[in-house]
Amino acid sequence: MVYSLRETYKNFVMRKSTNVAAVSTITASLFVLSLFLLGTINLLKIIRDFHPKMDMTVFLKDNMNLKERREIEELIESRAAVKHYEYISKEQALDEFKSELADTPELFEALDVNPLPSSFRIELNQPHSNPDELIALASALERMDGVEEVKYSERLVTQLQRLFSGAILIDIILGISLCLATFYVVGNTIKLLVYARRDAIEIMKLVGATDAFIRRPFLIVGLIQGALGGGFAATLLYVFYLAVKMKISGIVFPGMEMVAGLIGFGSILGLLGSLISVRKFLKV
Amino acid sequence: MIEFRRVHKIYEKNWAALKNINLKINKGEFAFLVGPTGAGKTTLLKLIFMDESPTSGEVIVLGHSSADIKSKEIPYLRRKIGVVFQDFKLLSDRNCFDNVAFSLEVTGTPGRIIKKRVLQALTQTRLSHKRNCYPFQLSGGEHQRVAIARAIVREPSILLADEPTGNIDPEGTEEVLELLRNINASGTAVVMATHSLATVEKYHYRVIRLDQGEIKHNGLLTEGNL
Repeated sequence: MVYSLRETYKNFVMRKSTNVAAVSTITASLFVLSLFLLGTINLLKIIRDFHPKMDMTVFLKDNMNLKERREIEELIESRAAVKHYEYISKEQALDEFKSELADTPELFEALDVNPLPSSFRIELNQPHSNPDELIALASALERMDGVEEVKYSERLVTQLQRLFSGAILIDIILGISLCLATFYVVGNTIKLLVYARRDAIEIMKLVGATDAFIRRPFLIVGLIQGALGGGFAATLLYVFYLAVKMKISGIVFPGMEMVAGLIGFGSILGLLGSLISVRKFLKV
Repeated sequence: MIEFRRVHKIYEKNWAALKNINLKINKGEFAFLVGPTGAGKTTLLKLIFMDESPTSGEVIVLGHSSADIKSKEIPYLRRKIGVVFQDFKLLSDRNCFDNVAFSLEVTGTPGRIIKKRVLQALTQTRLSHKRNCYPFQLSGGEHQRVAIARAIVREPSILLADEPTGNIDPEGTEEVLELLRNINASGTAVVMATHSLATVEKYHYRVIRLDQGEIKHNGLLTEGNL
């Protein structure tokens, strides 16, 4: 291990500019990725904090029988998107209507029948937690006997769903692209280091060093490059967060989890990048 | 100790480097490998330390067969084989001591043992006084003696030398030959590839003459068989 660490140190000292370029690129890649992640996290927070109260109202047919009502209730109870529900009879609906229009009681004098339908009023869980289920519940209810109509904020739910899915998709595409870029840069650095150390590698093979022993210093270089890149990216992200926080209050920073995640992810990227290139260029 | 059984080695474009080689080299033996450039000497040596594998046939070295040796076993076999080359293959950023020690470091030998064995090897090659010199401060003969010290520091059973005197002056050649003879006298089998007929004629060792990948002579040198 002492030998591997000494060789790792040599690899860093011998190719300072190459290593600086590699760490800078990893830093830039991870910083861009973490910016988008920070954006997604804050988008999630905005959705959670500012979403309107999500209600669904299931209007029932006047001729609905008790069995149909029971079946509708069972369906509502079975769904995770439902936080709370209550049955509103025709009479309750009329009372509510009257109290809302208490200033104009003459409107009701002409009514000899109650025109309002009975309904189930459903309070939903936050739409972003499972918008698909919400839409599925509405469709299922609409198909049931005894249901006249289902009303809910369909447009808002789908918009939020699209926005969130879009953000996640960008994160994934960006993540993959930047991983590939990192692999490429780390790979090239390792290629140069292998080239610079080819004489020593040849002698190592000759005198019976194992493949794992020969590879180890290069893998450590990749690991350190990745960890440094992750650490620098986390620092830059925090500085960015502090700068933005002065202008936009309420922005959140995930804290040590993000820092540890970036360093860990950077290390894995660096290690994988060097592993791939060591296998490709070392031929041991 | 070393055995070739019907070994063929064919490189790209159907170029046959070795053809039907049958050969045995015994424990403690000294053998010269001679032949013109391209005769197959280096290929034969590479097959012994399993840097190459035969296209057909089998090479058996210290009980390991090329037919079934696993790639992860090869480094352990190489630790029992010392190899020296015409171009020395010394690391220019390390002094003599470190060049020799390198061979032990990379095989995980503890530090205190490394020091003792490196000094022994440098003493044996008469270089202990130059242990702190860097390769650029050494003569050709001294370069090769460092390379030999590196090869013998692990006390190998076999020492392979590929044109070890090719790049050094006559005085250095004498020194290297004497050294190889001493190593052989201590029980190590030595296989030395050379162009130098004068060297071969001077010592009465077994001669294996290769020409166009085939063994043309295998035995002691007698008049007219070279």
